[in-house]
Amino acid sequence: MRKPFVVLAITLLTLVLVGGAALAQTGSLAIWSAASEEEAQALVAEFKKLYPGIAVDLIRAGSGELLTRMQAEAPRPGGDIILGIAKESLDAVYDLLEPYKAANHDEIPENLRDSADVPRYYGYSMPLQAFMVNTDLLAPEDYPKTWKDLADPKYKGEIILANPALSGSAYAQLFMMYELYGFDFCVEVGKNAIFTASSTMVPEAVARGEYAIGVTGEGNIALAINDGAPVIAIYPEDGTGARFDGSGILKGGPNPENAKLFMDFLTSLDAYRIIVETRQRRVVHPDAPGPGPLPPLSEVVLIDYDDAKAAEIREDLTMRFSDAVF
Amino acid sequence: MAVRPNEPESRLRRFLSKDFTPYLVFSVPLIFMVIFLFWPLVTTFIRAFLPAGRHFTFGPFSLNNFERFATSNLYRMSLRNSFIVSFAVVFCTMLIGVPMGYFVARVKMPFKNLILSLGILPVILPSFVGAFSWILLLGRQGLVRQWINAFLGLFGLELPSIYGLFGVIFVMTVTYYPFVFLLAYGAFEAANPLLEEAAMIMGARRSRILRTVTLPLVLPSLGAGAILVFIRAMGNFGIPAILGGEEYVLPTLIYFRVNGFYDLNGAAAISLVSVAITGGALLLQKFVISKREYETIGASRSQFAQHTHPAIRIIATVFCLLVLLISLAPQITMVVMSFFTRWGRTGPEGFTWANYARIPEIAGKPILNSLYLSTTASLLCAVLGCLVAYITERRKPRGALILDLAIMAPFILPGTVVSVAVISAFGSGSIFALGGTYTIILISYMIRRTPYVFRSAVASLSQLDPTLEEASMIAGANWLYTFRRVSLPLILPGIISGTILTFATLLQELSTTILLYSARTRTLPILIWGAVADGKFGEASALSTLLITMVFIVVYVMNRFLGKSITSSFKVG
Repeated sequence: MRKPFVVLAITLLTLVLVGGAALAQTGSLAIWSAASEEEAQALVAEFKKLYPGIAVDLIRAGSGELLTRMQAEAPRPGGDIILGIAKESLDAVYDLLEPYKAANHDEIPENLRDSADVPRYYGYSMPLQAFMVNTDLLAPEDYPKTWKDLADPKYKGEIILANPALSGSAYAQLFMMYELYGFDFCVEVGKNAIFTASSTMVPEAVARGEYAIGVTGEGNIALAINDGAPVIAIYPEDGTGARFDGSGILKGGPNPENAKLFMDFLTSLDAYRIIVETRQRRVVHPDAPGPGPLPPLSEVVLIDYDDAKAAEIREDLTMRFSDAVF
Repeated sequence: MAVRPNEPESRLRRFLSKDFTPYLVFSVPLIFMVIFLFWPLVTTFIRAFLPAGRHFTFGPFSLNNFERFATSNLYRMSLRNSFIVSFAVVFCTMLIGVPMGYFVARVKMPFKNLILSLGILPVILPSFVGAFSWILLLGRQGLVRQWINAFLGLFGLELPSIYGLFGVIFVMTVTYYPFVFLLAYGAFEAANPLLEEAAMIMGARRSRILRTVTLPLVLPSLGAGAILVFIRAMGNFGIPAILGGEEYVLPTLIYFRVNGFYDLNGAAAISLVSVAITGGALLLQKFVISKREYETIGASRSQFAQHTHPAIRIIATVFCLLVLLISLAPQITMVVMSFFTRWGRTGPEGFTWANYARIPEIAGKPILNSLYLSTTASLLCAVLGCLVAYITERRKPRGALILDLAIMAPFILPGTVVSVAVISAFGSGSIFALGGTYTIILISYMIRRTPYVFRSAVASLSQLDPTLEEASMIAGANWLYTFRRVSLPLILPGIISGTILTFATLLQELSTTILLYSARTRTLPILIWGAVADGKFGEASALSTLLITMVFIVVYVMNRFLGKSITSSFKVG
């Protein structure tokens, strides 16, 4: 009986030491990304062509988790860059971002970055929210045309939405409806819909025909169309908010100089092209092409999206909405 | 007393000749617990009484966070749903797990090792993957749903929607019944057959023996199984997040407070409520069992005569296979899906090998990380859990109940809350900067999973007759020797099954890891989560299949290899 004990003790000691020894190495740029894996990987690959010497570590998580990490690890976070999270979320952690004027600063329109002279974040993509409709389940005359249509009782149980408390894009949808038609209208839509915790479930469910209508980022609809799913994108005639998501440098991160190099790269036309090509997103650079199967911006009705107000009333609005609907 | 020796020296000598090993051995887990376990608990407790938000201060305190349970529909609904789900899941898992454990232990049937090994698989599929597979099968367009409804339609019935409480309870039941099944199996296997034989000789019928002898004997293990299921059901986030629809439970509410608003204090208050409920359940379980304490591992053993009647053999085999088939449906779906590019309206479409071809490129390091982290953490949990179980069960120090509750508490604290406590204590900014290391993940795994081993060790210890240990001590063995040569070999099967369960559940851990991992410490479930989030279900399925296969091999080998030593370790004397 002696032997197993010695073996166990030695095994444990070795295992713990192996872990300890591995601590010694450090990466030289750590990116926290809410963008999809292939998109972030493609960007990193291109960046490494420019700077082969920089070892890049990519951390992938939902924007909620990344924000939690940022706040929990402040003031000395383990990451250098936060990639692709909604503008209102960036505003919520504004103090944790490092101001930096990127090399391509002048090419990015002012309304698509932090408006400060030395911005803390630059626009990444424009996740316009649109209706995703399954053409097998609805006849063309039954397609919803406006936000207002979503409250029509004939769609009861046919609409799938992400939970606005858990998903940034779903909150943006809620805020748009709230701004357009007020709180009671939001509750009517809420009663018509089914909610899911994960925003990726929405395009999946509509593509598979689980639900006829979903509201989601237009890029997801483009991907489903490319994939051969029987769906189309409908942009509400009463307008969809001109929102963008962005990226910035984390204050107090381990590699501030490399982080600046990455921000310069991220605001270049090359980087924006990659974003369009990998995930069919609409990007903020005026010279970048539009996403494949989606209409040009000129055919989309845009409305102003008041980020500051959206961020300010977020907790109150989502709590009231959750209490009224769920 | 001819020569009176120097007084103090003799006292010193007596002091030195005392057996200190138990104190030395016990101090290690206790120190660990104080640093890593009480600290997150204490901060969580204090936070619960602070004003909503992220700030940690020592006052002013208020009950505002708790008042929401009175004022908000959402909070009330979450509380009610958590109760309904947890109790329903415990009830349903008992209904499935107890007969299955009995059949496998007592009925002569084929493939027992295989059934035991397959029986653990439901708990190792990351629960968000499991829930997602069930949508493919039982969702509104689900294949299996259409078959079932065609059948139920004959009776004018329809399967309730998978979105909502029915779906949550159903998926949790088929995910968590292995806890009851494996522990019930262990207990039925271990119960002393002499007692049943005695009853039979006295003329009792089978049903009476089962009711008055067998069931009371296995009750502690069933209690342990029930409490494990209760805690898991109370704390699970992945299943209600995906299937709950608008039915909130406490974990989704907590997630929504932390990741939605970074309201750590509000989340702490909700956690505290869920800890209190589970504490109540633990007390109830202790109360029920302490009135019925029986030692079943005595000094002499004999083998069970297994049921051999054809009818019961057929019933047992069919029951077990049916349960396995239903509970492994998501795993089967994953394996099928891993060879296809997408899941269309009628099932998988576009056969391909590409999902597997990509694995070496993307998953090499994560696989090693997952294995390393899970193995190390479960061995550490085994050592710690076993020692603490020994302290609370055998030494019964004052405050043993508090120790018991304290070690169970982090288990039911949601992963997110534990990780936030760990990050703020050991993150990049603190004195012990462990951010991004393997160590920080190991610590939080240990905090969250030691209770598994602890519970199964307690259950085994309460079945073990202390006279065996006393005999060893009287014969002159010191404490460590007794522990090593007598107690440990007897409770080893329980500890091993607890450790295997820990290992299996750690391999699929997501909610803690996602807040703590760095590029170097990325694990397989993180990769799977990413693939699901990107809508690459083929890739997610291939990775899940790999994960399932890995665990299955480990568990199967362990069951085969230890199967003999488990039985032989009972044959004492």
